[in-house]
Amino acid sequence: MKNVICFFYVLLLLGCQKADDVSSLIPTPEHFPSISYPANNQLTAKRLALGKKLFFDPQLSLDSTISCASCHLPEYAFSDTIPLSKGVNGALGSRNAPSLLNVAYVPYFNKDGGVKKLDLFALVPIEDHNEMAISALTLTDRLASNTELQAEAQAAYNRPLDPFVMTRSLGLYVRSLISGDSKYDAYLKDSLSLSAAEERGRVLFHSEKTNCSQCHEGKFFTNHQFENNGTKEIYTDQGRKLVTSKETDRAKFKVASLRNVAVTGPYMHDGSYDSLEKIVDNYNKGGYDYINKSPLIRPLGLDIQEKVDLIAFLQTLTDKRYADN
Amino acid sequence: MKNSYYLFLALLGFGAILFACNEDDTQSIAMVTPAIDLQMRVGSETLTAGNTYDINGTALRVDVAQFYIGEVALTGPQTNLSEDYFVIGTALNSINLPETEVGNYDLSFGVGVSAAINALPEEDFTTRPVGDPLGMQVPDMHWSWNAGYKFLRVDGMVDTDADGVPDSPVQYHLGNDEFYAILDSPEQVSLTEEDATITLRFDLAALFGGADLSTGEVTHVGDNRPLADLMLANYTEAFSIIF
Repeated sequence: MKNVICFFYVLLLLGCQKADDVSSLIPTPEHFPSISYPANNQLTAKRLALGKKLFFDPQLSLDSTISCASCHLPEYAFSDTIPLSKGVNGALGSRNAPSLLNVAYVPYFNKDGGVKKLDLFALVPIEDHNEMAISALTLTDRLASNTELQAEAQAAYNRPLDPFVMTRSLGLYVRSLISGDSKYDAYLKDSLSLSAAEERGRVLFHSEKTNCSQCHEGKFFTNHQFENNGTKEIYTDQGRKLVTSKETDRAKFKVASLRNVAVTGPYMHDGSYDSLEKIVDNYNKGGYDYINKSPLIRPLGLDIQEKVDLIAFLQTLTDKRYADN
Repeated sequence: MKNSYYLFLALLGFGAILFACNEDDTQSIAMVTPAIDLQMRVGSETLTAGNTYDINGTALRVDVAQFYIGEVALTGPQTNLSEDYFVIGTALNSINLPETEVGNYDLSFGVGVSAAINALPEEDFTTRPVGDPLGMQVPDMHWSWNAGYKFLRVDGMVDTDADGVPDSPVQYHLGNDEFYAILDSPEQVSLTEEDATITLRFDLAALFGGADLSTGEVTHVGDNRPLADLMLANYTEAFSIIF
């Protein structure tokens, strides 16, 4: 009887070990929620490895010159350094490439929220004429003779490298891009103190004077809602209205996370702001008037020191680990 | 004796019913496999991919013109509801419907896909096998940026400088649940053993009736709702059954 109990105890341990192994593939900070995976795209090491390989593979574009990483640069928190990224044949994208860090916690994708599933999102840049400009089925045909990738697809998903495998493995890879190791995170864990300026900026950020945290709330510094923040007077991009067809959503865009904001410029939906200073200045004057502008955007009355403090705090949100990936 | 008489009558009646049933079973009901043949037109011209047409005074080269047809319902001697969807247009122009009895039928069909299909459950278009009309297509019939299907798409080049030569790429893509249209044939269609073909005409000129394409404007619904609404309103003229 004792042996039987020991046997089941060992089985239990083995079972736990296996679960731990999988979750350790994408380690999440203690103060972050766990990541959920769709039933048809559970996390495995092989799937993750395939997604990472595809992310950096320029074969995913029409002329094999552009990979996902061409516009989502790891050393810049998986964002781009120019307002609008260049796609195949130099075509300009229509929106600024956002950081992919912590995308695992985002409920919908694109700045207008038009894509509801992370596991489908890869189709957007792959098929967009201004980005990678290739049909997913054409891409499937192209990669059919790539024995290495085909073998990895079979091993990971038990099917050939088709659009399902491409989108799902890429979906898993971008889920693995977790950023929760900034100075601010250390501050949250009481393992590091903020400087005087950073602390003043933190208090200001969460104050009613600025209302920053009304939209940039919580651990991820976003409420995931759609707002117009008075970036400009005239918008060529209809933003959320493209999805809802409502005039009240015209030129509203998804509130961006501010994690790593110091290294993800240029900013705003079109990359039209090239520094945090210019953004803070625009907020300080109350932003440009626009019919759908958030009522939270109004003159702040910040003096020079307060603006410096605010930016000092924002710089504590940078997770420098991604410079090495 | 009286009971035996009634029993005899009952058995006689029962036998008559059985005999009548057998007689019905031996009658052959003519069955046919209806087909929908698509006529692609621009007014009186045949629409051919790659050709240029005059649309309200503007030259439009049509590279792609296709749409989803689904929920084809024939109501008559039988009620025949096809659960299949088809992508038809410049690439494919004939489809077969489930077998049905000959006769006169009311006909309705959907242009697009139903809200249930468009909702993209966990098993979505990327999971469907190659060749499935609801799977991935070339050219694509899904909106990667706005999860769901393109119900109708027309792609090509349009003349924006009035020299008669198309110079600007254009896309006219309709989708979203509110753009799913169920169209009814104004007359019954007759399916006979000799002819079980339903001719559906799609007229591109009628689809763009009242539209000025010379500015190069496009629509993916959300970015140009007025043009999308106009195209939807023109469906009843653009899709017709030829008798």
